[in-house]
Amino acid sequence: MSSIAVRDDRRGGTKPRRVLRTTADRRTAGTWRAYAFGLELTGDFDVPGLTFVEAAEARASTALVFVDQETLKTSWDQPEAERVIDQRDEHGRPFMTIDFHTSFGYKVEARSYGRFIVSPEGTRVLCAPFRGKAWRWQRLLIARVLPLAATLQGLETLHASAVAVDGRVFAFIGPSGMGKSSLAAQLTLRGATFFTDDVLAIEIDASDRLIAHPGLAVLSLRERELESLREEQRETLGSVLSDGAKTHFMVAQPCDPGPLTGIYFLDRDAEKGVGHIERLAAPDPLLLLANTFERSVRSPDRLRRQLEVFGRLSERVPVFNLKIPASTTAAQTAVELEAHAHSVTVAPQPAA
Amino acid sequence: MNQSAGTHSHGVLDAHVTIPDHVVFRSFPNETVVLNLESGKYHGLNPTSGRMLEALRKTDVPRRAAMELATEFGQPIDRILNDLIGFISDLKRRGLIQIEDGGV
Repeated sequence: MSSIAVRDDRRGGTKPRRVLRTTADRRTAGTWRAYAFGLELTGDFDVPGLTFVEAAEARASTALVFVDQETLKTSWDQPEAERVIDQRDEHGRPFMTIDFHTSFGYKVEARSYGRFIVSPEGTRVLCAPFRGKAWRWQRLLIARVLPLAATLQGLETLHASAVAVDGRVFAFIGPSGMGKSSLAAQLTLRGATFFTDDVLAIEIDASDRLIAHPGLAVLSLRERELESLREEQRETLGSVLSDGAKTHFMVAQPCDPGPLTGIYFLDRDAEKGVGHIERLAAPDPLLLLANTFERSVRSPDRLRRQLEVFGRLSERVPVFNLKIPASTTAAQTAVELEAHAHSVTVAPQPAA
Repeated sequence: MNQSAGTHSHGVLDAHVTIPDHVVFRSFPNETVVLNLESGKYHGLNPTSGRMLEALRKTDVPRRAAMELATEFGQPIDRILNDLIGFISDLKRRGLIQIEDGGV
């Protein structure tokens, strides 16, 4: 379990020693130290949405190193590497690939974004962006490469958005476009603490507790989701990092790791009327496993850990089906969900 | 699962059935999840199949496992043997068990 400064601060009642801002603020200060997905990250280049820490004794550290394409190429000359992920566009051309080599680690490459090499233990990431807007390759780094590094460092990842309510973490799982991010945005506007968008890092800590770690402080909303927000709500949510197919907000609400207390599976219900939330008596572990985010790491040790962590999830964390009527807005669902989250009780986890 | 134990696959009933090191499983209230560490594939078993797998691991020999299961479930031994042969065949096809001194 990480023992980053802010956790000590909370126990000691002193003012947290971390702030949230873009790394551009720290360029002149040299190397920065940040925290995401349970990792202590260090680097010296701009990465929006990181939560900085002044002192950290995180469970694992990952150094981000900016290099040019030539340097990266000389670091990866492995024709025998195994292709473990091969995503293609509608024309059949490679869009994103991940190659694996036992000694050299993982090479992540996405057209128009950049190339990255993650060391076998996830302790070092070489970043070589392609030309173009910085935000493009930075998005790939924070949305795809850092979760990979976290997995290599011993964490598991759920494809989920999450918020914290009174220090307890609640995750939302559902297909793309179902409204996970909208729900997180609406709950954040109602006073919950934004925790992560799209990827939730979890682990069983040294005290045998299931702990969730915050991701990047970036929330991405589609245009139609954005339209449902009033201007003042957008401003409350955070500053806009970039827009395009989605608008990316930097949500100014850093938070601590916390116990994963509930998981909601979002499901559209054709029926009109109010939504309803139903607890699953015995959650299917395969259903949870199917929502693993990181699939490129297939070592026996990782697979064993994945089964154990997701097994514990299904045994210990209440899982709910949240039926959302087609006519219900994310704001309406958030009201219901907020009340429900406060009522969730769980069997006590082992003491810290 | 409908082979007759009296006419087929007698060999496997007295063979040694083992779960290889690259296969692990974990039991849950409503199912058992079997993981093949070589392929990375997960397989879900219903509670009865999960119990069969547990009995096979414990006894090594299908005929002994069948006797144990017949007592536990209160079913005729022939029926259990038939079910077990089909189950073993399925596990073997998926690479989740090894069979020595026999085959399915």
